[in-house]
Amino acid sequence: MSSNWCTIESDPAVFSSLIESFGVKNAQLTELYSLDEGTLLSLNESYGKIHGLVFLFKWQGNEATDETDRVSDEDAPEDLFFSRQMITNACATQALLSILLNAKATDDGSDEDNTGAVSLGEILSTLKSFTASFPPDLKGEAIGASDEIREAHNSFARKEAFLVDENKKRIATKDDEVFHFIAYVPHSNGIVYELDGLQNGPINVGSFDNTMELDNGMGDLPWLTVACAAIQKRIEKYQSSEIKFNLMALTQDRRNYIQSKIKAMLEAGLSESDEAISALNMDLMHEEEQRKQWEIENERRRHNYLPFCMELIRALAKSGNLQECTRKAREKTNASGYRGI
Amino acid sequence: MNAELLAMLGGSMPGASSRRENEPKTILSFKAGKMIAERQPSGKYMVTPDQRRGTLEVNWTASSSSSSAGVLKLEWKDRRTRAVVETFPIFPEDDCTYSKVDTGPGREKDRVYLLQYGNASERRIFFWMQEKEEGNQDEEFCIKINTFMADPEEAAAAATGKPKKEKTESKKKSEKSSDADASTGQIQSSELQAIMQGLNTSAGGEGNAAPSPGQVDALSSILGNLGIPQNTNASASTASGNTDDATAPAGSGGLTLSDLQGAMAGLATTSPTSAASASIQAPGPNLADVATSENVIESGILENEEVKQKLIELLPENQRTEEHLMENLRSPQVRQCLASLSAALCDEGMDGFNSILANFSLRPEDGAIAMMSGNPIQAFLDCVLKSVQREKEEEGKNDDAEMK
Repeated sequence: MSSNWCTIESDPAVFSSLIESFGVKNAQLTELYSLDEGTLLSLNESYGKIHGLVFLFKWQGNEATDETDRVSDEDAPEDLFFSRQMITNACATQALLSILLNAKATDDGSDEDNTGAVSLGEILSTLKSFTASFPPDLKGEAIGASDEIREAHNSFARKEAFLVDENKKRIATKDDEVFHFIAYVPHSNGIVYELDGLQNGPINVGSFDNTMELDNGMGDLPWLTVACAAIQKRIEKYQSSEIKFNLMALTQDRRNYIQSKIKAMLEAGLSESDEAISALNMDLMHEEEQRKQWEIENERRRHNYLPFCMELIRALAKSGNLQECTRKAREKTNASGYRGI
Repeated sequence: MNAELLAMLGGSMPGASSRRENEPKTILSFKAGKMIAERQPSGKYMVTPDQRRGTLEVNWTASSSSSSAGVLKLEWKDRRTRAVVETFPIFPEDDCTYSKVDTGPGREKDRVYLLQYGNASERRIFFWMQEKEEGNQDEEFCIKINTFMADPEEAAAAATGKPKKEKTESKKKSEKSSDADASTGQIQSSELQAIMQGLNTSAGGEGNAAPSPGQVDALSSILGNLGIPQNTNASASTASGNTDDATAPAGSGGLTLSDLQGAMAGLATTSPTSAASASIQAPGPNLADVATSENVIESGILENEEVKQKLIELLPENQRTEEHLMENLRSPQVRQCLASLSAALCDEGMDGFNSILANFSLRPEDGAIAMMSGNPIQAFLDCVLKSVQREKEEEGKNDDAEMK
């Protein structure tokens, strides 16, 4: 398992594209900026189905001591997918897989009942059934050993790696920011679990009423509320220090959700020109625009800009502007204080 | 001249005497380069960085007579050869200071430090930091060095745990200076005067005669064996002034080290100008700040169709349009690439620098001057400038050829 896993940027555009590259369909990531009820309601409303939450925070090496009160659930259900993290740089992929492999899924991509089920695709379906009876660390090993998953993950690697000699990469010190990802998923037994690959097992963070039907509009709100309460506790713990954290939801692909709503309305007898449908069409267009923008950004992330940058510098030199630009740059640096390279 | 003498004086002490002392203990060390101060015809000093990768070590050698007495030395080592190139013995009475140098306006990124011998001494040595600063490292080193230099007990404390060796020779030495204070081994300044006078005479008088190597060695060994605080009086006078003091009682009108040096070498009393005249440059600036989208727009290069097309060709496959060109110029990815390029150029060990130059067919000699000043980014930019110049010349020639 000595093959290299690179660090990747944590961004919904990157992650959505990442899971697509695993073969997943009808799923995406979206960023949450708040944990309040309004945000959760809106999330529910816009995406239809939420499979899990990914909480990203700065990892403190001494976290283990704080976690003694959080015992992993020995009685965790067999069919709850939990894997121990075996590879540091893979933690983002690990968290995403924790959600995907626990989510309501279909193998064949069909979602006749519009339940918002995710289509796992071949790679992940195979992984799921293959590792079903494995203990957590073996599950982790299996993920680490998957060439397809690793290659997909690495295709989103941060580009600066290529300029620095592998051997010279700095070892992270306590001052370096090492981010850690944790997933929160609901289980059919009515419990919300915190899945942290660095812990021994899944952690029970609360129960919710899972007897509600999908149609009553509550959707995933019950479990989301429980998960957010647990996340809130974590955030409060870090309140004193300058902790950066991100929260994302792994949801159904919004475009599919909108389309299913439009379909339902048409079937109910509304006409195409109906205001409600027009509004949904606008939303759909907006989503498509965003996806196009994501694709452009991802293309930039994968692109080697070195020749472009060199040409830029050459052009500045040829036109006689290089000295001036350098002077301006120095001024700027001095004005803003020392800024190491 | 000044530099040579300082180097000789500061150079490795004669073997015999140092072996008698206990082993030196390094109480502080960090990567730093030294700088060469050259006297210009104008009388001013030009300070340029010695590009060798080095380490500045603060070493404490306790004397066997007392654990709190000893010699503090700042030693500069060449990291490649692992040899000590320069040694600066420091006594509290030297009133040495180690401080950050203000290299002038627009140079806040410089990390140049100055070891200055006090009492209006001419003796000063500049260093430039060679390791990336973590937190307030530079400042902390500054404080530590000044502490050690001012207070031998601090230095001794930092070096505790070091075993002592009993050597009969060193005992003999402290007995020799019998009228000295036994615990500190202080030599009367009159004794020192006498020694110096003797040396002076054979040098053929005061002033400008260069000391012969033999004399300097003798002086070095005296200074080396002293290992003691000296009585000092601020005096930058030349040799003649010192001989007048010869009969002064101990404790007043004593010699300063700088007086000795002055007597030996007839050093110019013109002080070097402040380091504002230093030709060193701060590494940088970050290329991401050089090729900002604003700078690019202002430069007008995008009005040149040829340039535009060349750049567009190098964009991601699905973004090869004029509209995307501007977006890309502003993108975090381009900025990140420029920043990474800057970092790679500055990467210690030169591998990054060399491979980038090789990749883009740039000639290292074009950037040699900036490299020597410790600025790989400027060196890289100089290489690009020269390369572009050559390209223009070639094009000019080709045009001429075609016209014929």
